[in-house]
Amino acid sequence: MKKKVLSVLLASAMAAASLTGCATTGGDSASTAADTPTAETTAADEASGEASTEAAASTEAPTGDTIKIGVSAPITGSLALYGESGKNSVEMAVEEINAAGGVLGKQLEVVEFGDDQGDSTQAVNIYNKLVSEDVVAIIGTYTSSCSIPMGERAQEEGMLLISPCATNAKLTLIGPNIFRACFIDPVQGPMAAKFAKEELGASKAAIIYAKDDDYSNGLHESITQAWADYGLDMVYEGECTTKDVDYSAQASQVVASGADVLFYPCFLDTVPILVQQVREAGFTGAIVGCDAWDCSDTTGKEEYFNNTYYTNHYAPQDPSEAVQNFVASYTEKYGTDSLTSAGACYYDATKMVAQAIEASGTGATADIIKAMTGMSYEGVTGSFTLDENGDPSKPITFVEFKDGEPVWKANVEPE
Amino acid sequence: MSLFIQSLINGLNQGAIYALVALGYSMVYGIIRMINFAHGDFIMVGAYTLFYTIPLMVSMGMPAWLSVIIAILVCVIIGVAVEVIAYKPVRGAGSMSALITALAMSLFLENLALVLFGANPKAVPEIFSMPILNIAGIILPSKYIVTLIIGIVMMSGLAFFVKYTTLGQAMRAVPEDKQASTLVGINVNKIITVTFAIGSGLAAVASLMYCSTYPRCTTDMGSMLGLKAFIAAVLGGIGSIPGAMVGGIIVGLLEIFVKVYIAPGWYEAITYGILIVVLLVKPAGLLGKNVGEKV
Repeated sequence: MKKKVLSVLLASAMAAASLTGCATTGGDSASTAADTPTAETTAADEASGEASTEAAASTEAPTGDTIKIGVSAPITGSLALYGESGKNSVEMAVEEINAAGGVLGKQLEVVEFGDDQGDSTQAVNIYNKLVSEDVVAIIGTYTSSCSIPMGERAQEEGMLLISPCATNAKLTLIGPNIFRACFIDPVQGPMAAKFAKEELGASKAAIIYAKDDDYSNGLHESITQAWADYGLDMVYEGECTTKDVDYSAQASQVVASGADVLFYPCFLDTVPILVQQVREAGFTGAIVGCDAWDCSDTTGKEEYFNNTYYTNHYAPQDPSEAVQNFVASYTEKYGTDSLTSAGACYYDATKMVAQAIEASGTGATADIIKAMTGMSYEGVTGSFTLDENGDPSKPITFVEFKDGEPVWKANVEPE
Repeated sequence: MSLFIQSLINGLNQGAIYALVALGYSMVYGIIRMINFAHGDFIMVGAYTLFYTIPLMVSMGMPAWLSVIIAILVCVIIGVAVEVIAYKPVRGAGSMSALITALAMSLFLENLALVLFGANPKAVPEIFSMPILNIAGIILPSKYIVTLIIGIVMMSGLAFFVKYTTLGQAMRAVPEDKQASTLVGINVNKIITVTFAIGSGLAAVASLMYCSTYPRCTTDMGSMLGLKAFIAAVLGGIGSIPGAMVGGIIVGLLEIFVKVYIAPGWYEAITYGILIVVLLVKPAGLLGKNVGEKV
């Protein structure tokens, strides 16, 4: 008897779950349809699924007292530090915008901080959820692997997506609705290579990259290309995955290859393990990372981190007024623990969206996209004009670890 | 040549860690014919215990590795609790129920850890501050030697325990024939609980060695590690204690050598491809006895 009751309960729970599933999907397509007058006739034909692909950007100005935007960030998971930082920074930017009178005379409202966990499936779920809440633009997300699928959907459905930190070049090539607030890997990679050649005097390079990650693959390509263009030797190219913990095989090969610099374009959670294993294997050369190295945990490994460098979006030590204001207000509200360059990019992306909404005059997504195309912006991570792809061209910051502390070296304008 | 020797050392170290984990699988399987898929997650429990207790140990002026005692206690308690709460009630329901319960337990523990500790990876403080030896260009961290020695000591200790002590003999009797064991006065339930206690304690030691080489714990660290160790146990002959050791070392060596000499991105595919071939030729594993299922 007990078992029967249990199974009935389970069955009803499952039925309920599937019903809710349907309800959400239905809500989704309904809202897309409502946004797009042209799609209204086809909306009834739900099975075809054509409604969403043919949708153009909404030309209707938002009604209501607030202008709604959505945000996605990896708030939990291995990149949680960046996600938290991004969330805080968006909150801060929105407060500042609203305190100064809001946009188009209305208050800017973040309907939700979606947590994509750095997982591409989750990112698409978040996208759907945000769209169903009638946002006019989406800020998201941190990783390239998550932003690209979100961007594909946004382009199809006429939504505006601006990624604060996704540096993979493919993202903005999806279409004119997709923008970003950061530099791209085809710029970041060659700059890292140039730094290794000119500042560090390296001639033989090794690289270890995660082959299951868009970001890492993009940088691997651009770094090796740049290195080959210099006519220098890439003596070792090693693969790993984002889930690996053992790099001893790659480390021993880096040492055996006689490289004097090692590129490691991967995310911060693996950086301490890699640096430790490579140093323990006897590698004394420089290790060069990228913007995903920001705020790596160096505790207990300060020695190993000497002679390591990375490219970044900004450095908190930069004396420029915009940077110092951002650092001061962030620190006052949230402390320094989560003060990352990802935060600075989310902050800039939010301000960019606000500026574009103001310039659009109507607050309708289609007009915001027009306003953002080719816009000029001055912010924490530099002053720039978006190019025809929606990418900024801006200085790259170089940071060096000294006794475990990141120290600002220089801001370099790309060529 | 030095790259070859270096890879051998790296492979042995990684293999010793797999072997320590595989011992736990093999032992539980050997006694109750059940694959405890939650074993990998006991390692995760051990690693988090180490993460939280090492700073306490160090602040009290004791060596960091002593935290393993607390980790063993925690793992044993969790292991026995899992056995009594989840496995015991389904013991009569056949091996499929036991297997599914173990899988469910594994997911439960992972998600519980996610709620309790959050998803951020935790950096485990240094456990052994021991010198790294450099012999003619070959790097040999002394903690590697410790890992290997602990592995061998654990294996021989366990083999001795199972073979010569009364409790060990009872442990071997239970899988032979449960009813006959009961008739000669063996408390079968007690034996199974003790088996789980020992298996979980082994997991705590394995997590110590794991964290000394890879000082990071995540809530899902147990699943892949557990899977690899399980494969190692099957390769060596599941149920056989020396087999677990041999299987672990072989898997560790294979992974490193495939990474160095064949294709780093393919190491898992190639390693496990080779394992499939081995199992085709020797279905009971390298050191396993081919005993037909009793009907």
